[in-house]
Amino acid sequence: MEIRAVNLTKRFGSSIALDSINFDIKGKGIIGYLGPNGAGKTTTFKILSNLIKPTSGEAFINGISIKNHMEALKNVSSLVDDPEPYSDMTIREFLEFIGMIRRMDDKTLSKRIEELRKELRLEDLNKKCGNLSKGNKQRVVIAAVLLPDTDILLLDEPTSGLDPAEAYDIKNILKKLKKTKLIMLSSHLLDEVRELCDYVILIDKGKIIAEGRIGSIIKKFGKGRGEKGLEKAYINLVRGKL
Amino acid sequence: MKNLAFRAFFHAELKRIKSPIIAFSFLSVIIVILTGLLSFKAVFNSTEFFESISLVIWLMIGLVATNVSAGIGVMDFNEKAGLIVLSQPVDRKIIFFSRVLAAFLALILPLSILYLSGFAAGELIYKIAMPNLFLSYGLAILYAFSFVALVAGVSSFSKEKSAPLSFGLTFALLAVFVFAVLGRFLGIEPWFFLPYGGLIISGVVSAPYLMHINPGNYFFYYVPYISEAILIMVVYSVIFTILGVVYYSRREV
Repeated sequence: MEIRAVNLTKRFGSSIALDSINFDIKGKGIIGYLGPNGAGKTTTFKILSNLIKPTSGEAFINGISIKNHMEALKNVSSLVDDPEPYSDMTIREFLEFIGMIRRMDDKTLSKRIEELRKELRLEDLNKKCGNLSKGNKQRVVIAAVLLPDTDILLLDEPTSGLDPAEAYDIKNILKKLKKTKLIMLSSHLLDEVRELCDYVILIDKGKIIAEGRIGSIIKKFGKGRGEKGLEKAYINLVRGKL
Repeated sequence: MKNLAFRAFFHAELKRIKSPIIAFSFLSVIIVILTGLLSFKAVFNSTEFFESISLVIWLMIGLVATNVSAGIGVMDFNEKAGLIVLSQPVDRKIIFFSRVLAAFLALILPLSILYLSGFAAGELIYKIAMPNLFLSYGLAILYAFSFVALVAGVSSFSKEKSAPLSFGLTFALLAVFVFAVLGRFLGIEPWFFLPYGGLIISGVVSAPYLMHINPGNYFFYYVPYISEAILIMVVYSVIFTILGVVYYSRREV
């Protein structure tokens, strides 16, 4: 399992969202992808999910270029930029729709929907998605992302919009999944990152400013500057106090 | 296995447009009944009656096609569901084609109801069958597809659904005025205008033989020849399907 970016650059008009970034993450576990708003996190996720094209550079999933997205994304499932299910579909219809797109057979699909219903405490599956609360919509979207049971997950702020109890459930699911999958996780919640991630990449103004295991990031950028911890290291890095 | 993705989008689209299609189907029957009643009041002869029905069909195709196709190319880019749907390993061409096909096939229901009820009303009132019924029906199906392709194509490079919706409705509703200005006053045959091609639906049923120029008619001064009309509709279908697919496939979310 591998996600690789090679000189990935994205421009929107005259502004540069990603400035020739490179990373290569392999194996199992959760990789935190951190940075302030506008740093380029969502842009990276969008390129990796084929929602936008890079201006230059290339991204690879398991060695397959995103240019060949039909092959590259077979084993990837993404939650990017706060998506929502189709409001006119019921929860079941939406999950079945995603399952069909993923070419899942009826038996596997029904089994997975039932598993996720229990795991994510989904509401009545016959309820229209348009009538769900923000938190419930988010759980339906997470169910849709987990439905195909891919080896690689790209999760852009998955607990956004969830209450603490719901976020707790999602974190527990992620802790279980990290044993068998490669997960790239973006989050502003540093406690969540510390609890879940093994390795972090910090990005700011479209450039990677630090990366490493959480312990070493704290040690290198957080130590000896007031309170210790990932929060201090993060602030020092993004405010350039080093 | 690509069929499964095609089916998923096709069924989802059919479900999405089910309500407007049912509503337009009911409306179609009501329109034919009203035209039938009007024919008694205005003492229409059978030609005038069939001409009125076929012009209603021509107009309805524009309205219904616009209504069911305006969201095809734009819905995934201005609704948040697109963020999850388009991140799946699916060919965007399949998404676009499946939706266009669903909209087109759904449109055949109100269209067939219009023809059936128009035919039945003609038999009931005048005891004669609609002239060139099957030819007109076939041309109406081609016109329906070309209108769906036009509006879906426009929607694939629009920011909001309201843009293709207003474009399609304007295109359909203002057509007669465009014909009047271009044809009657400027003497220009509007061969470049899709609704002009669609006018053949009415042309083949309303007269014993096709009149290309009708000097006494302000709104329909020119009527296309059959081959000319087919060419207009095919060209629109091809151009806007290709444009739609290209824009939809390359568009960023």
